[in-house]
Amino acid sequence: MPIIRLPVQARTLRLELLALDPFSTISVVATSIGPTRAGALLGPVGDRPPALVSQATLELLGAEIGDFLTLSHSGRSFEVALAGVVAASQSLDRRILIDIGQAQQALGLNGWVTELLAPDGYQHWIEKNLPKELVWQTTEQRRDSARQLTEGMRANLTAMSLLALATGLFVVYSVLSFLMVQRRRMFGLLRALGLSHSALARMVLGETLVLAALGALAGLVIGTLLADRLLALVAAPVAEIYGQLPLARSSPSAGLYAAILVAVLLAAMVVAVPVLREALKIPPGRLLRRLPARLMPLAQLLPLSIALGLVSMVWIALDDRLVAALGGLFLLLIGLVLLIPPLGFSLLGLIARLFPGTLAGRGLRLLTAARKRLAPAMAALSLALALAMGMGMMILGFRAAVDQWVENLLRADVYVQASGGSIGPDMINRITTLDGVETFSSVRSRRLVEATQVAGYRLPQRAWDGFSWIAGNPKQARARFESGQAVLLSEPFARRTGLSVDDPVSLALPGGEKALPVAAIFRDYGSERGFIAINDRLYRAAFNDPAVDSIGLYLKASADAEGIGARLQALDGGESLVWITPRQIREQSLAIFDRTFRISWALAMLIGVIALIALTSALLAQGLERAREYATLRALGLSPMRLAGLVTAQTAGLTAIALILAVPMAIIIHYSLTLLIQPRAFGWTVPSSLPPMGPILVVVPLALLIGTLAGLYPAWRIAGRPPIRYLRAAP
Amino acid sequence: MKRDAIVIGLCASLAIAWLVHRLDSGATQSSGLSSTALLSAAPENFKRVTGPEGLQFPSDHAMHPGFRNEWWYFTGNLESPVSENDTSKQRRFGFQFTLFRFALDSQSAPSSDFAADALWMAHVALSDLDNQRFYSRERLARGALGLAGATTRQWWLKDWTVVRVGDAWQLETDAGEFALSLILIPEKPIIAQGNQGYSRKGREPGNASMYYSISRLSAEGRLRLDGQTIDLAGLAWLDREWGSSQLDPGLAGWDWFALQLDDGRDLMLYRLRDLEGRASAYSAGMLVGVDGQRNVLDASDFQLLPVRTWRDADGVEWPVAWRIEVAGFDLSLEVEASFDAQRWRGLVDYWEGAVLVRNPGTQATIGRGYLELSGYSNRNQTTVGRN
Repeated sequence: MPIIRLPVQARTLRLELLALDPFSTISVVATSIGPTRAGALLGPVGDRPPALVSQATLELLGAEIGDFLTLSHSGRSFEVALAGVVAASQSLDRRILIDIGQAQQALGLNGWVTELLAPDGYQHWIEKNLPKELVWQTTEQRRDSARQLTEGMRANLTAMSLLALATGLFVVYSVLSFLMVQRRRMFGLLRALGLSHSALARMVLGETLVLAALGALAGLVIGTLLADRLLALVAAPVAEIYGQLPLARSSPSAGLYAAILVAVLLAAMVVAVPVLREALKIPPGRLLRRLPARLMPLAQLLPLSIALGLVSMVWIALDDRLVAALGGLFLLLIGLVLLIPPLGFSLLGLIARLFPGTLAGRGLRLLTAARKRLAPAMAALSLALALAMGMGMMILGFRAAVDQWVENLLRADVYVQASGGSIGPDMINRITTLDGVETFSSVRSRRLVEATQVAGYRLPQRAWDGFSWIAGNPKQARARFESGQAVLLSEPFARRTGLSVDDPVSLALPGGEKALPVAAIFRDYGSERGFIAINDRLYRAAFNDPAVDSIGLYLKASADAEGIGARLQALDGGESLVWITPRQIREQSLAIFDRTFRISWALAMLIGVIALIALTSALLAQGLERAREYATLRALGLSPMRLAGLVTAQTAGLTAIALILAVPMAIIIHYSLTLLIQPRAFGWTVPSSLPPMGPILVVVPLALLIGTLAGLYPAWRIAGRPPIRYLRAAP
Repeated sequence: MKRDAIVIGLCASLAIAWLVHRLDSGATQSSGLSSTALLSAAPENFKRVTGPEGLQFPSDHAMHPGFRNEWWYFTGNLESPVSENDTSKQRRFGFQFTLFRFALDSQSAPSSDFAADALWMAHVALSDLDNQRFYSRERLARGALGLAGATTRQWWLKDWTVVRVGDAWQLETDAGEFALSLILIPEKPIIAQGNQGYSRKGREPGNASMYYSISRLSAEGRLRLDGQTIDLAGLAWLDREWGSSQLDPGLAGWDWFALQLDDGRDLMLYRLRDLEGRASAYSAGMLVGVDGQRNVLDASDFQLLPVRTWRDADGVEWPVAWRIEVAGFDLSLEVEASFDAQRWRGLVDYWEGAVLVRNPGTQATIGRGYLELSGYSNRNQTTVGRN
């Protein structure tokens, strides 16, 4: 079945145009969309081709049936009439279905298709009867390569989600212990009335399960809604970078829901264990508030932390897969988080001593007595802040590196492309002999049979100077490259294949295999798969392909870039040539970059919010536990306002401590992400530099502000209590 | 407390309901081909049949571009040869092969090789009368790149072909589950239906089609079914019809009979039904004599009475047994489906199957034929077929 599959831009969306003969494989298309609709595809509406979309795509477009939609593909645009909705599954999301004849007509490309779908067992026939240049691929292979392509991105997002889950567990712990503290008195009474240990345990675990189930349910609903929003965030980068079409809406499966539900219930049970142990220790009938046990001291935790750090380093060193880097980072973070409570409370004491006699100082000192209750919340908050800042630093650092790279690389004054895709030899000649052009670079890319990307480069010295070299001697490399005796590799390609300078690379050229040594490896953030660069003469000889994809024009010092635009326009009457300045390319690259990392920012924010909830509930628990002390303060003459101020000072202080500890951790996270995760996930390295301070400057005041605001609710609750009731509950 | 529990329970049920609703069902929906528009109203730019223009052969065997729809329709009853000592092994089958052409409003995408002027549909069905099994297969193709077409020499959709060899036709269809290969030789001349082929179906002169038949062809060939190859011989019927907007808008469907009597006569009758189920005044028929004499029948010349209906799995009632009276020719017949379950389950909803013709008095079998019932299912009131 012949198919035309093209990326098109429609309104603000990137869609895939799928043009086919709806009747050529009746079982596939006509039955799934209905023959009436399939038939409707054949006849034009006015002179526009009718098009079908899925309901979700229609909603994404914000269009209605009967609307006309302008589709553009590399500079050429045409209108289609939205004729109907396909009630198909999500396989048609972000796709627009039209008849193949209509597509050829609209695109002016009669006799042209992008691919053929063949039934099983036709491989031999295809190889025998169709031209050799055709690349054939099974559906399985196609799915695999799409999966490989997005592997790095998926691993990163999964890791982020797991971190969010871990932070969430701290929240669960805080809430459960809050509930426990709140009912300490009741548990004591129940025990006095004869409730056995096991009955109490059943009761606590039972209610934990019910709460966890309800929470999970709410979480699934919110999570699904959130996933749809996040999907919209990743849609553009996934399409731009990977050429893959994401679904219009998330497509959760019953299995996924069930797995999350079970995981949440299990996690809640695990977290409930320490809380339960505490509840069981309540002596029957005694209302004495036992102070929670002391925290494990730093001296005991430090070796554990160091051990975790060592394990993570050994793992990362021995295993060069991405999962090792992520796992190692995870272990390292656990090790660091263990140290936060003891360090944090020492710091707290120190700060409290800085403000002797003030309300804030007293408030903070009160906190050190409740360290066990507050330790998880402090750790969670610190981890979350560190993650937010660390990720921010990584993103900004990477952004700066990409910016630098693009700026270095683009040395030409103007780049010329053709909207039809390639520039033929005649046009190349006319463009490069325009007045004012001193020299030019050119590039032509092609995918070899085994999916290796090869680029034929023409690189004058000025273009060559824009490359940033990772390995190899640039001077010698240029001589070898120009003579056609060696190739250049992009960094991701070299990393993926494990090749280094002077290793032979075998190229499956049409004339047969050819092995050439690697002259040098250059930095490239353009493609995760990477590519092999050969010089243009070698390329033309090997592929018998005189066209190029784009040309970089280097103008004489006297020539002006504006004038060259007019002359280019005059060359073909403004029909197909598109030119763009390096500045525009840079702006577009950074715009794509920013879109790509929007989801990371969103996740970092999410983790921060969860941590703040943990902090609030921990303070509430602490406030209840200390109710008698606060009541005493009130009885001694502290006004509710002042008490509220005291509690707010406590949250602010806790947030400040968490921040102080988070900053070094953020820097560790930044370097791990940049130096370990990035190369393993995407295949490229980022030149080392000082961590960008921007995220710290943003996060610190923001966290302090929100942390203080988060204290208002517990402050209001605690200050509003009638002191007499809590004073009366004496042992 | 109780109220809280109820509220929480309600919220939880709502959440669960929403999540279940949100699961990716991957459901696909399919709708039937509603050809009411194709058969009743055609845009102005199509040619219309408005009066007798006469038929010309072989050119009228080929397709008639310019008209909205056209079909080539073979039906027949076949038997395997009787072995001398064991008649129980004789197998009997009914078959149908139809090629439909629906012209498109305007030629799509003229500057493409895929440009289609029509949509083609082919139906092939086999009724295993002994085992009461009905097989059917449907194919569609665009009228481009030679995927389907009809010339004076050949009618085809991909590799389902009917090739004219002299006065005979060679039919080849491989539907996967079964394959049929038949030589069809006319035993009677071409019969122009209605007035020289002008078959009026409604009040407007344009509610008409050009219609001719060969009411008796000898059929001989092979069937492949269940890995077996069976030699078959019997009688077939060819119907050819083309036109635009031949259906009067007030019609619900039709009942069409093509009967081959053992005495050598052939009877074609159709009853057009309005929305109340009454026969339209434009119902008509043709009794073909042994030597091919035409006897045109109009609505007042015959009576059709449904005797028994069959209820299919969807609850649709199909009248599968009939009583026929053609007073002027002293014909009184009972017609009943060879077996009931011969409903087409393709994109189009209709019942098309082999029937037995009996003498109402003696109950002796006096002929065989094909019956087509359309417009009975609710899914689409009017379906494709002849009228």
